[in-house]
Amino acid sequence: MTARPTRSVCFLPGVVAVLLSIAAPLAHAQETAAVRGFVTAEDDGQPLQGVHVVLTQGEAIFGGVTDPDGIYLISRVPAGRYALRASFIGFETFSDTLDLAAGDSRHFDIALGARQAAMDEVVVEAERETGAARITAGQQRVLPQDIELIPSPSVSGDLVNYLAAQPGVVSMGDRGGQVFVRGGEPAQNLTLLDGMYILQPFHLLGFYSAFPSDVISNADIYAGGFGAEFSGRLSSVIDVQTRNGNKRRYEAGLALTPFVNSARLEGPLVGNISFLGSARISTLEEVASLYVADDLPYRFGDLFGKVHVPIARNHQTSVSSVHTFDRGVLAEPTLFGGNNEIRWTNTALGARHLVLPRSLPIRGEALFSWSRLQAEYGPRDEPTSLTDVENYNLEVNFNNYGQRLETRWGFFVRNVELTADLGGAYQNIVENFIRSTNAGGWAEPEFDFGNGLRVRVGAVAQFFGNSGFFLEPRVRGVFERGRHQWSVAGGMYRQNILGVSDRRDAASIFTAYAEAPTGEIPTALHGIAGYRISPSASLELSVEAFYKDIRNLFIAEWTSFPRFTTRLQPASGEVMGMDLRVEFRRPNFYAFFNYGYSSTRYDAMQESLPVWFGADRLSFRPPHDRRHQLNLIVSGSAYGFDLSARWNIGSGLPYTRVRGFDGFILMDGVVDVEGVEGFPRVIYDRPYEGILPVYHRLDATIERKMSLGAADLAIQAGVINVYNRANLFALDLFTLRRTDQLPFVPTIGVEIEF
Amino acid sequence: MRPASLRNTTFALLIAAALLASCESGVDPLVDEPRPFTVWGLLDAASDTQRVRIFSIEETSGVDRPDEPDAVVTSTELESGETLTWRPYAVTYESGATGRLFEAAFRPVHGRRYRLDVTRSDGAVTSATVKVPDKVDFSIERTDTSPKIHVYVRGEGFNLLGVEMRYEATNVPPANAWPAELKIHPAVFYPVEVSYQGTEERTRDGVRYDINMTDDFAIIEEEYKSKCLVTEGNPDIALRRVEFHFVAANEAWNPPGGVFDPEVLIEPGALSNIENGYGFLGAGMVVAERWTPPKNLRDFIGFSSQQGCPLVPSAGNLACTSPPVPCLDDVTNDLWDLYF
Repeated sequence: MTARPTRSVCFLPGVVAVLLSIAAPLAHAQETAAVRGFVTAEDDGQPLQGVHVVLTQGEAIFGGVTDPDGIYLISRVPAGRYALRASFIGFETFSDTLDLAAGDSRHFDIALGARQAAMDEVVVEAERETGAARITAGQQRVLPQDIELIPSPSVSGDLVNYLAAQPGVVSMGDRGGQVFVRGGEPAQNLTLLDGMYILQPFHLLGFYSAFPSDVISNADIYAGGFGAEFSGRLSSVIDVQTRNGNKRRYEAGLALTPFVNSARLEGPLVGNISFLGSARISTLEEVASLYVADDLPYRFGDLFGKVHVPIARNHQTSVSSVHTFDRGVLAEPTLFGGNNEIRWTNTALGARHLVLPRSLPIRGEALFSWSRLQAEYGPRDEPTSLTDVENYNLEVNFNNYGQRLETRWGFFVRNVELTADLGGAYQNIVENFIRSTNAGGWAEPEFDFGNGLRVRVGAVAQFFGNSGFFLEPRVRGVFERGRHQWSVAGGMYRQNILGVSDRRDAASIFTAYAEAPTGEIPTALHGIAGYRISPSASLELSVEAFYKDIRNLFIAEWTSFPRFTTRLQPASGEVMGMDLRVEFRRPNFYAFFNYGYSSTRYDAMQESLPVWFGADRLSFRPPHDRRHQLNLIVSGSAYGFDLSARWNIGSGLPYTRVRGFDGFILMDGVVDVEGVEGFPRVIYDRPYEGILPVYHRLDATIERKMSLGAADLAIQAGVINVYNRANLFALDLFTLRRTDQLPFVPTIGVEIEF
Repeated sequence: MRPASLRNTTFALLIAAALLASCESGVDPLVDEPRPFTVWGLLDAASDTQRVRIFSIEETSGVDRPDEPDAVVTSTELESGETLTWRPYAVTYESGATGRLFEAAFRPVHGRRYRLDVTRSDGAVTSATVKVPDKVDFSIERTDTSPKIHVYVRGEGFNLLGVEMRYEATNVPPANAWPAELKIHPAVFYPVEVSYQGTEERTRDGVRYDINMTDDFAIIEEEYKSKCLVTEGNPDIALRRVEFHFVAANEAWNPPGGVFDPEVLIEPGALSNIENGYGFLGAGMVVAERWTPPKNLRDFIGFSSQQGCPLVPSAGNLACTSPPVPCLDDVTNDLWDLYF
């Protein structure tokens, strides 16, 4: 209770700052004019991001850059006649003249026509808006064309392949669908699809996720240091926005591969309303299993649909929905685990309304989403563990535009309902139901000092269920000078919904969700510093250092009983590392090299530690601590073929070695040692002091695209694990049986678009 | 990058890839373990036969030890130097697992130290040295009229384990509690043990335990209620006999925190006095005294004396030696058939 005055003191300046940032443009708006609108591509009506829209009058220049929705807003423009110019690489420049009177608030939409000449060059230059080395203090924007550069067994790409090729991102390989970002665990990643919370978006086979590249408009990946608009997670943000669907004509795509078949349909409905639908279903069991030596007992798929409705010139609404399902066995049944099949589904529905008020230089956004994860582990008719998570999310976000100050702010209410039947595993929880509410507001003004320096300072003020009020400061600064860019970011992050899984067993990815104990909300501090240089138009290099300090973690307790599900112990964590990226682009050649160094250490605080190891804490490397990781991606075009290859090498992951096996008898009295059978016991070495073998693999594809009149055909052949490296996926310490990642697997796929 | 250098780079990468493909990808999770055996057992000063269970430390999981152990077990009384070789034998459990045990016919002497050696044919030895605690001076101060009793344990050099009052309680549901067609009205013999571990008071020459049987009755009643053995229609619990018992153990037989938590003790070394091996070898004996409180005291405590069974269980009386009936709803068909 003594914290109450502090809460008021902290919250008040934030409210005042927000009100001021709103009020100032209002007062000024009476003397000046503002211009806003949407910029779209003329041929399909898709919003264009990164378009420079400029008003000029003699020496005076006012301008803005479109956001992912294609919105530009230029405020505080003195009355007068202006030349408007909108330019974007790859498109014809748009020009017009505007007469603006004082107090004018003009809505002016722009449709840019694609430039036909020198397409190859255009593509290369257009991609410079993003790029694999173009990372700024942990933030990276990914476009579908970036994803397509990474080899994949499908003709069209998937965001997860791009993620897995980034330094600092550790995946469990081609099985498991687990992605660890800069030391953070999968449940610490915030994954959003059109604002919908997707808890387990990555499919069992590591090449696929709920994010096929052909529905993506863009994806923002924050490996850490994310801004105040995101909260409720400790590690990272993957914020995916989908396309609106073609507004001019119908388009369809059909792809067949031994791993996955997919279909896509999009087009106009009524007026300017458009839709986009995509469906994928795995074919591993029916096709790939016929010629792959290993068992591939996986079934997964996803279904996505979106309708985009421009209600008025300054109002847009979209409704999106996604459903994913996964079922499979990641490794042979363990001696004590029995049937270890895992199944899960994600279902989500979201609506987003976007408004550009006529009288205010503001962009407003209202989001509502519902999502649900249902996961089961064990036999299908009698699962041993179930978890069901429902998320309701309502948020309202605003963006106040100004020439030197842009303020983003918003409010949110999130409700999470957790239902679990865990059969006594995980902190001895049998059945429980928890409803947790998280509500708050955020504000993040960005100051542009005009000399290349931009600073964003923000905070999230929020309530977490019964745990109380918390303030999370965030800061982000970027300084650009010529070819150089320096960036820093940092902040405090909290997560009250925990994902608990036993990381000792790579094959058991079942995650139970629980609310953090009151007063012990997991908290992380992030710090990032980066430098980027573009020595030439073809070459870009970046290097970034990061640090995360994580408190109030909960990890599985150690036990010598041969079992995997058990009680939890508190822990803290520390992550530090650096990423190096080098990207080289020419019209017919692309290369991306990256190296990531990362060190993750957990300090376990199990009550028994003083008895077992003579210390209150035990520092160890968690099993996802991949110290070194290197990726080399090369792609190019020759003789009409597109070739792509990715070589990935990562140092071995930590694991706990075994000294032997014996039996345990509880000697709690005069025990009849003849009559008691005893429990099997594992005599472990010290935790996580063993290192698994190095992981490395080469994947390659060759693709030929051709036009068949009204349709485009793409044929792709590829090989996964070209040199048939036996990369370990899981090792059963009780039976010493190993399960490997995919062996040498040839693939062939065909995609037709019309 | 020039085409020639690109070709060279590609070639170099392919060579590197081919070399890496041949790199070692095997993994051996087993660390060399020099300790040959795990030993569980105790030297029981109240028994003429001593037994230990031996687990050879294996590379595969499980308690099954089907093969004859490569072990010779000997014990030596360190004061006299007398050495005995223990006899190996095997037992088969319900699961089918084979357990390996060794036994020797002798009664350990109070106050003497013994060393147990388990020797493998290659000379590796797992051993334990244990001192049998001195004989315990134990007395109970009680009357026929008061539910309060005091237990005195005098002496040093021992550790008291499993200090409990055992109430051999029975429950005889009245006839109308059962279906009319029931041929025999079963009684329930369900003893309850109330722990006094850690409640001792230090005295000048030992420890004292203060016991209030009226307080214990509340615990017993709760336990019976939790098993559905006490209901409104069947409120009575009868008492046949009480027993105060404990294990007078050697000093090393002392778990961390004083609690035998299997989640803690499962960790090798958490409670171990074994050299070059794992497990635990204790020494001690059970000390107990039994008595039957008189009827008036039983009534005073809360027990019912309106019972249909004799105070001493009789093997010939099915109604009084039947196993606990957990809940009427849970009665299995087999058990039901027994009574109909």
